[in-house]
Amino acid sequence: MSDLGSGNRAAETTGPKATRIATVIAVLAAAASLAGGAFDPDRFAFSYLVAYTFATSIALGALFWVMAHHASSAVWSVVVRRLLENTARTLRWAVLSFAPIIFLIPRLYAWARPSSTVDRVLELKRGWLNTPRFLIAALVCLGSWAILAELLARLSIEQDRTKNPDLTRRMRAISPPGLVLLGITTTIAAFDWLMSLDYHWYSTIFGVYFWIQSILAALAALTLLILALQAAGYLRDSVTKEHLHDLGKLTFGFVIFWAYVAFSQYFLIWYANLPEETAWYLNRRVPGWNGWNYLLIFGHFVIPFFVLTPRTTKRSPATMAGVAVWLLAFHYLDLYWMVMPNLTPVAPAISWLDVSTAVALGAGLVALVCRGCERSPLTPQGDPALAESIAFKNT
Amino acid sequence: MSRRDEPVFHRDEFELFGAVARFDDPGALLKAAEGVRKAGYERFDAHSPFPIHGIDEAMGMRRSRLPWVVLIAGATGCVSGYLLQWYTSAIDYRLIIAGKPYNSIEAWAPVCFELTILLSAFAAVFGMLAWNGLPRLYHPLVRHESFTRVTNDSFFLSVEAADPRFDRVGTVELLMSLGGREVALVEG
Repeated sequence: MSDLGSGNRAAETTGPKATRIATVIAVLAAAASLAGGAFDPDRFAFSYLVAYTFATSIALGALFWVMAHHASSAVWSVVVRRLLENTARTLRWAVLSFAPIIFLIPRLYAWARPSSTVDRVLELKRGWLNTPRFLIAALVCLGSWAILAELLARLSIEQDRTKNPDLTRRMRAISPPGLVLLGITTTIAAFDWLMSLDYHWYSTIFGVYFWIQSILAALAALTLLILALQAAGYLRDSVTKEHLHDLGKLTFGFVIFWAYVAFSQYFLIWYANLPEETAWYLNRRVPGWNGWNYLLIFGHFVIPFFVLTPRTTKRSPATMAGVAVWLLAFHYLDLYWMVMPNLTPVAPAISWLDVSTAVALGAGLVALVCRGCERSPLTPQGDPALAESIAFKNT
Repeated sequence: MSRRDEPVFHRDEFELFGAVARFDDPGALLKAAEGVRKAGYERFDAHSPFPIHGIDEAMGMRRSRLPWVVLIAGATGCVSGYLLQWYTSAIDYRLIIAGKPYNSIEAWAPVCFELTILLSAFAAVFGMLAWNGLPRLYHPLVRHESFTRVTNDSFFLSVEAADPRFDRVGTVELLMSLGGREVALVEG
């Protein structure tokens, strides 16, 4: 690994070691999950869906940040962009790890199961809710994400070598249409993978909700990655407290945005009080699940809001690492709350398969990101704005 | 009062605002601000055509207390928004709307949210103006011969006479030793 203004030499071995450890954990957890899945395939299906959307959303959020960076010609974030590119680049593996879901469609989605009774709502939605269309949409979504991530990462790495500023222009040209495409495909993915679990229900803001979750989760993952790399001796001279402060401000903003979107969805459904819409929330207000709602309100919004309000916490590596871990945990719990009431409607029943699938895909993501970090410099060495980005200061 | 071309150094019957010096570049101003702070002065100010990174640290500026005012104003907005809706809808004039409870927190949220933002923004803007002493139509420093250049190509440092360490000779000498040009005493 090379780094502008290199960190300490002893760190040279930590990178491959982290990759190896994460790979071993991922493989072991995946094997355990598959073995468990043989005994309880329904549980495996739902646990895997939560874990899959969790890991994929982090990479998806990272792709958003890379393109937002280029679309706004940002300077401060140049120094952290390579880490985002490495995270987004794992999306090609999200195509591969979608495979189990293909086989689990009838277990996950009631609309894909043969039924003896005629459901009028389902008949009306048949044009959208059918397996071939579901698979094509997944391929288009995942394919376009993987291609965009690969393209932007390759251009950036090419710039390391050639120092050609025209490549910046090309990345800036790709990003705005890329963001539009990302918005549409993310909405479709969220509708298909998560919302169609309860196919009677619909919420037009659901795609935004999933996107905001992803963007926030990617910010938390980026913060954690930076702090972990710094603890291992990298990036110490390039990523400063000023960058951490900016990440903290963005995290604070997106915590509020998450609450705004989550509340908007609830508020409109509560106000209109239409049975086909309220059912989804009523299913989550049964005694067994009701506590989860408050868990999310306080854990995903109120507590991080007050923790991130002061300037000092946003500039403290220890607090920011804590907040990042906390938010990633609540991102998982949020997805769990969306998916699991379909499997265990009475009350949450946490299974070791939830843990093993999450560890398998989480550690897999860590291993892939670490491997990406080993293969290229940790900062975009050829970016014309790199020096300016390192010198960045909040006023 | 005095005319501009009168030599200000030889008069001491008027009330002094303080001493002022001109510097040619932001680096010199940064150094001078640090020098003045290290000499123990507290009531001094730097004037520049644009924001200078590091000037806060050089001057030893404390963090503003404004965030606390904004927090209190925001909380006031949230609570007063809630109380207003609760009192009017659940106590004073009860109406059943769409079969919802009289005191529906969900329905109050947008108003609470907006009032939080409104009062926070007011506190931030007006608090900032008040603590900066703005709006201000006149400032003694404009009496200095070349002070108008502060909006163009010059950097100034002023030390107020109200500072306990201020001394007509000593402060002027300090400013000169820090590289200040056109050092002068300015009347209040």
